[in-house]
Amino acid sequence: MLNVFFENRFNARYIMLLILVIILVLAVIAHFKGVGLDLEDSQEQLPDFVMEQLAADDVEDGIRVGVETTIQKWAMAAAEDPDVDDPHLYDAFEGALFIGDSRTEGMKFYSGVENADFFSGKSMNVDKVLKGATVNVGGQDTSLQDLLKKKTYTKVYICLGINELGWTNKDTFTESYGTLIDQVTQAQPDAEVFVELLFPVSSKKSGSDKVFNNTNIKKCNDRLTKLAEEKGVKSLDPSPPLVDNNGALKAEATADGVHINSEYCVKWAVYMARISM
Amino acid sequence: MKKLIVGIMIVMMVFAVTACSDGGDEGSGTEGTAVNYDFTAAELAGYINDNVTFNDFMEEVDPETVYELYGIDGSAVEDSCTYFSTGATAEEISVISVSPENADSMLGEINRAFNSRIEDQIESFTDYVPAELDKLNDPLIMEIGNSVVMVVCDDPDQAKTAILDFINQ
Repeated sequence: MLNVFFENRFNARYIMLLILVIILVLAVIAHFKGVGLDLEDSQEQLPDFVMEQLAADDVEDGIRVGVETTIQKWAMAAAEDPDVDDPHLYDAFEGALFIGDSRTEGMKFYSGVENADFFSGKSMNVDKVLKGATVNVGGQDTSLQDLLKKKTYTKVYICLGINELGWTNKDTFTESYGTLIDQVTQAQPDAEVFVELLFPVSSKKSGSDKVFNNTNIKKCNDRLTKLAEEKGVKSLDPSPPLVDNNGALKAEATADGVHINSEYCVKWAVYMARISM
Repeated sequence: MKKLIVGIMIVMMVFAVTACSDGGDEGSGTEGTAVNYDFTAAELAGYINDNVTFNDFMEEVDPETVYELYGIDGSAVEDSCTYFSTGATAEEISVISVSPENADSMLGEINRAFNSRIEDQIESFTDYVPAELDKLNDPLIMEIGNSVVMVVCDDPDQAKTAILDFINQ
């Protein structure tokens, strides 16, 4: 039967062709399998945050969510173990301005950020800023309004609100904050403006203070988030590297439950630099 | 007669020695003890930090930031070390040293800068944390050799004792 089959020239050609096709298919499979292995190897050498992004994109609700999660994870990793000798640690702050209170003054003193200006001071609040309070910036006392006229900034971070927690009229705070955003965006149209949300106080402080507690901070942050959306600017939450499992400021980071020490000022700044890149 | 002359000379020498060890309250050590001015600003500031009671985290600040804040010409400063608190308190340690050639002009300037800093802090803390005014109203500012030291803490006497211990050890 087989002899008859092979004796047919047509069948013999068909079989030869079939064998060649099989060999070709096997070769192609082997080739792509090899490439695939190479890809897997190269993926293992990619930075962790890219790998995490790939993983996050698989499980999150869309790519954008995955990317944001990835950036936060990347920022957290950097903040948890900051490489203070890295000359590019604060590249994101090049030409930036921070407007803030005593907490921001801590960042100025202790974080090692040298490529940004700080318009900050103890007891600073939106009302004082709008009324032309002066602060020593670069060795000269200046109001924010004059500073915004004199210099051009790439980014402006507004980090106010903790000293306003005791204000009885919350709408006044929101309106004043909105006016401040308007002043900044009008004076610096090319700058990226960020509303920095308040990071929490410690559990001990929160449980013992009628004003400076995390319930009031949450309410304030909700207002600021909504205001930022209305004004078309971004809001940033600096708290992840600073808080414990309960969402309160870590006890080891603070003496009074509100202000943070140098170690955590660095974590704060590194995290902010990453999430605002 | 010789005995009388010898006696007078001994009395004169006693008075002379007493006169030499008198006065110079600022920056002097304990009587009869050699005073050590051979220290770095970091050594003295660190000693104060270790031996004086502070309620807040005390942490070293970059000198350029300090000169800018104090309004001091940094190029005239030979050595300095400053600790600030987290902002929760007004506590502060600063040691600023100048070269002997600049001492006449600079020590006065540093003294003025320290006093100006205290005034600024009083203004800041008056509505912020009024309890800190007790410290700010009684700061320790003293000259030691070619250095000026400022300490803002609960107990300036404790700070002064620590400084004298440091330079006399």
